[in-house]
Amino acid sequence: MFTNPSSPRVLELIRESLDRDVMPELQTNAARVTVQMIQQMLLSVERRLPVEQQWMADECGRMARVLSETAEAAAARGGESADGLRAIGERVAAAPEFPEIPPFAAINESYGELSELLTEAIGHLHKLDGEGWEEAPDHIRKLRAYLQLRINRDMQGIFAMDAGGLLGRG
Amino acid sequence: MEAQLERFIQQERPEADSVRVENFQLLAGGYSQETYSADAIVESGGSTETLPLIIRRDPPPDQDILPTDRRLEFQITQRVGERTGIPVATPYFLDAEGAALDRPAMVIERVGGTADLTPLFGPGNEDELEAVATDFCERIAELHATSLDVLDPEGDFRDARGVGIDASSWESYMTSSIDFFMESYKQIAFDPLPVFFDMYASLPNQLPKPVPLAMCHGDYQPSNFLYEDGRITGVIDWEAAHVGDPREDIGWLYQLSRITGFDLAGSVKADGGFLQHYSKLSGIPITEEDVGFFQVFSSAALAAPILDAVRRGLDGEAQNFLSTYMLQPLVSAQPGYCMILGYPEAEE
Repeated sequence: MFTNPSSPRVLELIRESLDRDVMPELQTNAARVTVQMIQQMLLSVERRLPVEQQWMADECGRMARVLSETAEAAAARGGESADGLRAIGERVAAAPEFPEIPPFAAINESYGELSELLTEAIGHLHKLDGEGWEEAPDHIRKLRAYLQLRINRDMQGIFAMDAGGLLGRG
Repeated sequence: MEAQLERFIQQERPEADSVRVENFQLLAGGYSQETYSADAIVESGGSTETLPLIIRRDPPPDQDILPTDRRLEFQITQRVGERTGIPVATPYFLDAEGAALDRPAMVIERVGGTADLTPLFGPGNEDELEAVATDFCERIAELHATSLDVLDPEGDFRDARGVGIDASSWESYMTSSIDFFMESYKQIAFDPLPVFFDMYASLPNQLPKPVPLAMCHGDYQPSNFLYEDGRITGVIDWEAAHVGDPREDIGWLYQLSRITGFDLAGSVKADGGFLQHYSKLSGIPITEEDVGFFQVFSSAALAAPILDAVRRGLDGEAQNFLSTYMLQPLVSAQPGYCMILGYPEAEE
């Protein structure tokens, strides 16, 4: 997948286009307000994307800790509500624990660097192939097998070309 | 723009008493030129002439996805029309500098026929499909068999995009083209793009046998012709014409046939199929392996300006959403490139 543009940057470009290309052409105030609402929600998603998984994983741990502490504190107490807190504690104990997810910027940067190195390696391997290194084709094949996975993921998981095909060419 | 067009035609047809433009409309779609349709009513000496027109104008520079030259497009359309049997639109007027129409533009005949291939590929139309596909094969064979002395005596098309292509021999053409792709990648890759780089870097090790260079249409594919009653009425969109290896046009045709699902080549039966019929008529040998190579080569040539358009959008040089949207076709083209490069199954 791309590191540039990142998903938040794509959303930013869409918001800019709505402002520049669409807003001036709108005929009614209602339509203009709708576009402003769309822009505001796009901005929200833009801000949420880089932190969503990191914060969710982090907060899963925080919620589990505070609920376990509460359940432990209620252990000595009787009654329906205290029983309810203990039952919650048991369910929390069964919830999965997630490892800390590195910041999005760190993953993005590393993905970009490794992709750069992989691209460079392809160039070297083709040159070595041209020079007659008999192992080059096998290494090219291995890199391509990984790239095929990457392209499959891009196509199946991200790019919505099934939604209307290629637009704008008549 | 209608009034500008009327004045421009009047200026180009000074003998006319009056020029009136009707039915002026922007044709939707297209990633390169702005294309308009109109009728010009020209009155002179008591008689009235109606000219069905197509106007192709450069988009604003920051929105130009595939920059090409209107003067060259006008010139090659004219020469092909006058010097071969290939049906093309008659070019009427050229505004090479954009003095009359704000940006460089050309006004050409609106050719009869349809570009809609859906009915042609529908059930019950097999005979017409074969006739049109065979005509399509024969027209490109004719273009490639026509001497460059006839179509490009001045050498204007030997580096039509002005990017340093050396078409003095087949070897220098291929080497300078591949060098251009590699250099372009360094300048325009807005992100690591390993599949695109693989495509460029694989080319030098796969070179086919040389053939004489010829005039290439440059975008010879199922969207770029009109047909009627089993015959092609016009081959259109000559903006990417250039001197090159004629097999580029065949590779590109196969590539676009695969993408669009309109398999014109597969509908030719004469001489055993498209490639055999083409070779017999043009005198240019071509194998399945050559087609595969030129699918990659022609895709590489087209990918370079599109990658650059995306880069300009991301860098803020272009203020239009189309540049950003070009990411979508770029990504969706990659499985096709993987296929023609012979990628193995995905690593799981």
